[in-house]
Amino acid sequence: MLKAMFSRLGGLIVVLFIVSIVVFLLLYISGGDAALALLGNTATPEQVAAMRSSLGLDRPLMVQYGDWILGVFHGDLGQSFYRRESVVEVIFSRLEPTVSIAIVAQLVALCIAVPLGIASARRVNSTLDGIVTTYTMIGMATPGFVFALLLALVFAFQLQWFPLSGYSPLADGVGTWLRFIALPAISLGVVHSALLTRMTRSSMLDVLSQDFIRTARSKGASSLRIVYGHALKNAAIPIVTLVGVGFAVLVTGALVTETIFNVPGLGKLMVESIERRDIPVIQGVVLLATVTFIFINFVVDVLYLILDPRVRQSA
Amino acid sequence: MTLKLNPASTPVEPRAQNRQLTFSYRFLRRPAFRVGATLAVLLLVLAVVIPPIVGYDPYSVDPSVRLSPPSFTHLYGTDDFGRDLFSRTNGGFQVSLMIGASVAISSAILGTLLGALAGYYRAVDAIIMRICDGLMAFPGILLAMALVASLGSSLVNVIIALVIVLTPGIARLIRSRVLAIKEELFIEAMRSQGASSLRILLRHILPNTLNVLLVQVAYIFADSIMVEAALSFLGAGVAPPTPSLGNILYDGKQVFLTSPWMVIFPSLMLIVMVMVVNFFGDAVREALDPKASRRRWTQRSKSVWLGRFSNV
Repeated sequence: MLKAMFSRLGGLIVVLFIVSIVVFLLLYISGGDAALALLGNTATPEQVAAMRSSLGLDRPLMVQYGDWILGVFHGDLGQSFYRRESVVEVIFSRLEPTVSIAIVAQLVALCIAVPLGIASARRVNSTLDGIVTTYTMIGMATPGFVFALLLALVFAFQLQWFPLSGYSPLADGVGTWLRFIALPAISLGVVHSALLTRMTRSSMLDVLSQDFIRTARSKGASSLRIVYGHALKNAAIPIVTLVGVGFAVLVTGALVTETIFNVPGLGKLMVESIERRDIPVIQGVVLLATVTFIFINFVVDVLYLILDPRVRQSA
Repeated sequence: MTLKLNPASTPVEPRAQNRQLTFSYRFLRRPAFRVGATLAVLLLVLAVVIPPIVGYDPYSVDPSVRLSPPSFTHLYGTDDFGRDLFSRTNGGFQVSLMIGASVAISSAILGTLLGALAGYYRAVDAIIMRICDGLMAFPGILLAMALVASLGSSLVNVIIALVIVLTPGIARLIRSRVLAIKEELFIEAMRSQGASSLRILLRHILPNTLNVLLVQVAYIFADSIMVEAALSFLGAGVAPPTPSLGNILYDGKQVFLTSPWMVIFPSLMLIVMVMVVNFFGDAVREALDPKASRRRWTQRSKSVWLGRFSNV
């Protein structure tokens, strides 16, 4: 098991290296000149040249990469072109709303998908199964932000149950926090639940057709016991995978959706940075998010090794 | 010619001749295909046949009718510049279709090329696959966003960004197919007959990867439509005044509380469009492998899931 873990860790390091190169190169393909961006358009060519050499931009690309990656290891992602703050500070001040939305959305998705998926797998080809399948087809074709616009229109504007925009930090009370992130989280969660439902259903169907289920049934185990005692545990593995991968989907979804509700999170930061072509901030967000997801996936992989002896053996 | 063991039974057609036929037969009979095809015809009539009859220019601005609700003159109402929303939505449909098709075709070609090289020639395998792993580790939309931000927002750059994001998934899929087919007996037979590597790869291995490619291409088509909409919705996609479903929604975001038609019609168009493509993808998948289709869905590797961003 330890060997399997180390081989995964080895692969991880290579992936991280490639990711860092891609993120580093983002600034270069932009053709953006950090010196020019910091000095503004009024700078003379001499000033720009002086700034370039003081920033070290006139050195070879390899040396610059080495310098940059060394900074990253020390938690230094550079300076924002637009704000006079470091990228790390900017990102951390915007992290909470986006992460809150993603986590609550994940919970919403799980609460919808697991019961629905199990129910429709237990009654294949029933009316309920048909309705669930239709729901997943529509859900998988609907982007979260489209559903969010609809929810905002109905529940925030017409019925005024929820605030239309803004955010209240968790530290200022759970109730208000939940009221502010409810709509973005529900819209993302419901849409994401479509994929998760489909996954749960087919994973359950797969397990329910296996021999040990037939054995349990002929032993006289009740249907409830078979589904929840035997099948669900085995069907959980693909679901766990999707929960891990789902965080990537949900955080990027939160980025898009929060712009509708004017939530001051990473999405708003990305939009502002894209408008101002503040590449270091974009690099920072992309790098942070990607490294987080790689880490989550690694944890999921390790969880597998612990949960499932079969995976342990094949690895 | 084989011996007829049982002359009384009706003659059976040779299998090989029948294979192509059964695939299309099965494909056309899938409920998913029928629903998809019906919706596709409706969309095409709505977005391609009717607009020239109605005859509005998606670019012509008329401030006197800014944000007017749906009516007989403007079926979907007008936008914040007084442009006819019906023709803008249909223009957006065409742009989305164009983006979906270009991304699907380019990443299929590029992905097949890289996947075949990696699967067939061990020497380049490690390099290509590690780069693909690295690119697939990014959350797709985020990488696309960053690429468009770096390259500058335009139609072509959106396509380039999407191809970079989506090609690694195809390359990995094709590689695994090539690796499997390479070990089959008929390939060894070809090799012992003296066929060249290139001939084996092009004539015998690649045609056998077409089926999995087809399914993946359909999903990539759907993904790129959704991601383009998300990018443009954030203002990092197709630049106005070119209509795209995403940038109509971006404009609509500012006014949707008072003029909900600005988001309702383009959203519906987007949802139905993605559904149609997904239906076709499902139909191909089921027709290729009716028994294993359900199984395959659960057994798709994590990497395939990473490549999918169904819910942006």
